Amino acid sequence: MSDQPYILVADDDALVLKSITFILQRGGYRVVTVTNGREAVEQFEIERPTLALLDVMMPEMDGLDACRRIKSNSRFSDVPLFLVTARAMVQERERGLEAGADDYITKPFANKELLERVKQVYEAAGLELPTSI
Amino acid sequence: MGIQTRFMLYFGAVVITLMACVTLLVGQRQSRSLLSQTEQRGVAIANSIAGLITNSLLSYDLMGLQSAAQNAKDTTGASYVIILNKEHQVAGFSDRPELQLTALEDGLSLAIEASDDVHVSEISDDQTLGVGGEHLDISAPVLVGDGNVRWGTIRVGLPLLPLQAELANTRLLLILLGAVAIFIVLFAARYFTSRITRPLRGLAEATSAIASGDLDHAVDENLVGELRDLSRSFNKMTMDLKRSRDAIRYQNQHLENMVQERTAALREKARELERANAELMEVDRLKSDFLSNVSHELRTPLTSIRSFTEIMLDRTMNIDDDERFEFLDIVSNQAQRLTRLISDLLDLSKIEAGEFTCHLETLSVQDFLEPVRDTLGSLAYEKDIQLILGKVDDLPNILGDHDRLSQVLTNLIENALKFTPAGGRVAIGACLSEQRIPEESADLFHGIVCDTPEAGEYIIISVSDTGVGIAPTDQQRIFDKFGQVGNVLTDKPQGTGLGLAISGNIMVQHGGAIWVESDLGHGSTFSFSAPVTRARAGPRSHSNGSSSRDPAAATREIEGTSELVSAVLEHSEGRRILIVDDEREMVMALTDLLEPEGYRVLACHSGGQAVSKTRDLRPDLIILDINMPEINGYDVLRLLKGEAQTAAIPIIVLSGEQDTSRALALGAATCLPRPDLSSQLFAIVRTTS
Repeated sequence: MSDQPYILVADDDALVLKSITFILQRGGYRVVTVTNGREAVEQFEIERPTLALLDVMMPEMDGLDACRRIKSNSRFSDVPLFLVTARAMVQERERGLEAGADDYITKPFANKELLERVKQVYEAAGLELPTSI
Repeated sequence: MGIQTRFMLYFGAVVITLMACVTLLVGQRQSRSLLSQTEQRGVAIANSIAGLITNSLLSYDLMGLQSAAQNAKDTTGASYVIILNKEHQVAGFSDRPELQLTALEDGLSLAIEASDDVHVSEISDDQTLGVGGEHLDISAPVLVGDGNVRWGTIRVGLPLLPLQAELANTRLLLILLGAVAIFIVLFAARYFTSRITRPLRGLAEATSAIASGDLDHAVDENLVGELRDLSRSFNKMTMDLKRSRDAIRYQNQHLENMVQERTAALREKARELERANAELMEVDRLKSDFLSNVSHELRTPLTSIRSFTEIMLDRTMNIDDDERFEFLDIVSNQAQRLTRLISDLLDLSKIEAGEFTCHLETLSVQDFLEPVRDTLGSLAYEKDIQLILGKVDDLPNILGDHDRLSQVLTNLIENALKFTPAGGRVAIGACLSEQRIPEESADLFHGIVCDTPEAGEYIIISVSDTGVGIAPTDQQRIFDKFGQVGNVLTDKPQGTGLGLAISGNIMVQHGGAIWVESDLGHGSTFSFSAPVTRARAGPRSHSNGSSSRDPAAATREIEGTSELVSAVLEHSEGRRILIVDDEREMVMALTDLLEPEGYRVLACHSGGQAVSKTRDLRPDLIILDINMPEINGYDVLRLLKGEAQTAAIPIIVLSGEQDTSRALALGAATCLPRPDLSSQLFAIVRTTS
């Protein structure tokens, strides 16, 4: 299991988590979910993900903070991080990019857009794209 | 050297000079008079001797002459007596008889020699005087015959010593007198000069005191003449000086105070500006936070809705019916969540605009607790939570807005149900309190409270749950906008985060409070308080309307109402009556009046509502109050009578004004005085209904 590529999704809204997980799983990706930034950082230690989608507003540790921590760790700094946020201000986007995020997805998003971006990451990493279930 | 000393020296010198002159003059005068007295005495002695010795001369008895001389000397106290003949030979000489012969031989030279101290200044045939030494020498001629023949000369020496002693005594006396005089003069001088110099010294002291700044130094005015004038002028001058100095000081102080005040005011202004600036920045930050939060709260449910909708639309996803049902349920719930958020946001914007108002009326606690409990009962049942309503039927009425209080209670119960796990319990209770916030809750108060002074009693309604509770640090924050707390046991709260902020505003408008008490892990109790009113509550449309009422008989007796009922009977062709009055009490009173008569009553509380409801519902009759805010009764009359569809509806106008012509001119069917709600009889009607 542990050498299989997977996507880490962190969001404190159960329904958003549920929808993203559903979309990605149907796309054939392996998904691990957590509900805050602290858990996301811990999950990185447990198993290095191929890609991480982090919500910005989460309790305990927010997405920006988690992003900074992960990017400051040399072992994980090359893991692509996407911030997914319901905060749509321009300066929020800038703050996210400053924190080291690789991309920034604004809620609500189109499912296809999400899948497309994930696909690009997998292709860039030279990983075999999963076949849809 | 002081003036006094100088004066005394001058006086002393003058007096001494005067006294010396006087002493000299008096001494001279006395010495002269003493000499002349002595001389006269000497002449008398000499003459008497001359008379005595006539016989002895005739007999040439030398012994007789001698004894006469001796005798004369002894009886008169003369120093010596010498009897000389024509040839200046001594014929007789007292004290020194042995000199007699030689004297006769040698004449005057011998006599001089014999009495060495006697100086005979002039020796003549006549009376001769000799002054000098210790004796005054007097010579007198001795005449014989018929007095024409001169025989010789008698010389008498009178001692000068007693004379000199007397002169010395006189001089001493004069000197003593002079000393006394000097003393007296000096004393007097001292006294008089001191009468001048003392005040002068006072003036001098005062001047130096003034020079050194002490203007309270007054000079003694109890003086005489020019000195008094001087002192007065001086004191006046000092007073003037002091007055002007005080005036200047006062002015200075005043100026300084003004400068200080201005400085303080400017500083205060600066501080105010700083504060205002900080406040503005804070407001700006809050606004942007708020917008960011609104965006987040709107986008989160939209994300689920969009995602799940797209999933269902995407055939490649191959979802089955169960999944579709689940997703549609999610979408529906999230749509509801969005709806509620939008409605809360609208409430919030109304609050910001000051348009979110509560219409306070007399309410029975039961009347708003029970419907809310009934509405939320099914939700509690679904979540397997016991929803309990305590005993509330014997509580006094409150003054509140039914819909708004229901909104608060609904919000609290929904929150409680949200945070309470299945199998838990949510209890609603109400109690009477002397305070807006009970003392046991006031110490650690977390909530929102109205800042007006407390008035009378309050009903406290509380919602307790057996949920997860709220951490002390979050207990105040939850009353802020978007201050909801995420928690670990349930999903993220589905509330908008605005409910408690809106509830807080509602309770402040009620003159009450809303607060939370919670023990993390052991549930929370949210409470709110509303003021008690002792008035009776009007019947609400949703409460049971079957209470026995027969007010019609009593109602008809009330002034104004019987006229109204007959006017309604006269003008109404149907049974549907629209009552337009911004005062809810009046609407209820009229409803009470007309419903027993078999009418169906519709009510609205503003002119705007009246027009739109009339257009929609076409009532058979309208009872219209004139005095309403914004669109008043006259405006309503004009609008309704101006439209073809509504112009025919009869309108009974209730007016507090005496002049009914305006309403009638606008097309009112009739114009009646507004019934007086405060009248005793009306209260009876309300009670019996």
